[in-house]
Amino acid sequence: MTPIVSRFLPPIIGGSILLLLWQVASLSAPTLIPSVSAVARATFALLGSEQVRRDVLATVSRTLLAVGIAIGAGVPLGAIMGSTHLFRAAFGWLIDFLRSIPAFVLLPLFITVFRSGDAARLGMAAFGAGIVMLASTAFGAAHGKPLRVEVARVYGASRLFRFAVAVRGILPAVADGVRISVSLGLVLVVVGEIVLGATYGLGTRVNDSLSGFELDRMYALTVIVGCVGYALNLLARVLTNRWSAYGRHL
Amino acid sequence: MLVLDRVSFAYPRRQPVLASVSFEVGPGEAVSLIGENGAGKSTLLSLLIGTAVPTAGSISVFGRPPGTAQVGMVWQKAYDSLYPWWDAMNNAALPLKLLGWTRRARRQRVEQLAAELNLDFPLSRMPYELSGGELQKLCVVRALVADPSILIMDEPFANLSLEATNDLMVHLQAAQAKRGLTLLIVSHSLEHSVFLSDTVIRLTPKPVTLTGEEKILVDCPYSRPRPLSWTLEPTFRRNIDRIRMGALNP
Repeated sequence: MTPIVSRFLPPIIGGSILLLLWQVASLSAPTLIPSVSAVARATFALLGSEQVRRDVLATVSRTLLAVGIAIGAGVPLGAIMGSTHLFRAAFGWLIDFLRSIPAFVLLPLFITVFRSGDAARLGMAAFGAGIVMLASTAFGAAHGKPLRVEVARVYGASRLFRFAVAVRGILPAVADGVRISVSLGLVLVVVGEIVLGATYGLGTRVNDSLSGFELDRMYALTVIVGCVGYALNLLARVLTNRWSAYGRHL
Repeated sequence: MLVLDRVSFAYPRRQPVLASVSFEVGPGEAVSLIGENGAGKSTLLSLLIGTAVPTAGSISVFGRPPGTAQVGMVWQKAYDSLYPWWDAMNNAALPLKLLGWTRRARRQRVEQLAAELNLDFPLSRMPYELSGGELQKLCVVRALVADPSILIMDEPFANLSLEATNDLMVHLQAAQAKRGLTLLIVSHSLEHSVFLSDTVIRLTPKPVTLTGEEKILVDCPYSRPRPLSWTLEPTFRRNIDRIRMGALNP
């Protein structure tokens, strides 16, 4: 088997089996599960509509903003927490406590604090993704190799160079955090859109389809959310790949 | 010349590691410090490279305070001292990069030294693609690349196979003889210390006290570079026995 065939054939076979199972399931419960072809038709129709394009743009923008806030807050805090023994001893337990709280549970709190659906939704997604960034970065910083900074110092490196060495040691952990945060951020944004509603957003559209019992549309929107998540994850992987290449060998 | 004058050191709120340590290492001299694990060898090295400061006494490395002198250092944990995000060439050229050498000049210098030390792997390899012996040799190249006044090695053979150890010892000796390099090796292997050194200093139990009179001269019938076959001769064994007897009858 050539490398190309061995790479692409298994997922094609796996995907075909899943579609076949779906088709069989739709035949046995047509009122709950629409056929593959019906969902495919609905998906292509939705992708051509201006409204869904705006929905995708709104959901992706909210996700990227939430992840951006998560990185901005989680990485510096995680770096301090991971590299400072005293800080870790004082607040290390807090990471475990906070990541045990489902971000969704905090939605009422965010609504109370921000008094705006948009801000509350963003706050919830940023909190969920931020905890991941914080924990991931703190782990990377705590398990870094101080010897590499010492090496730079012995060979006369400037403070800036030594800082860059310390940062390079943390980047693979940050990259892992970014990939998880992007997926989690999207999940929380869509949940926020379903619960709180919005003018545009894939979650809002899924909710509309459910209210109108338009199952083809609802399934098609679910497929689109999945594709958006897959694309965002791929983007995060491509952007962070350079940092992760040596991450397994730290 | 490396001069330690009544150097003392204690970690905060702990028993002193070094009480009063004095000894000198002349230009071109090869000296081994031997002692059990936890005897204070690594602490002594930290003081020499300036990553720790003596609580009393003074250190002069070729007329300069530690941390400012041109020192080549090989750490025990070779892999942890290398940057996994750089290939072997960039790792070896680190001191030159910090000295502001151009990329081309760095490459030429590293290639020349790599040939001299018989580095038999492509310099485009990443550290995680190298064996223990190759990593240690790469660290020696990095340590010598900027022509330091003194080469300090912390347990350089601790994690190496017999073949890798012999190979490194032979090439290290050749490089030392060619440059008239001052060598300070910290080891708990008497065999390696005797083979590489002109004198051996046995560290006393903690807190370490040395007056400079503890140097044991290695009696070798060969000039440098010494042949590896010397380790099989009775004169080599006699040196080891003499140092061991000294350890039993301090």
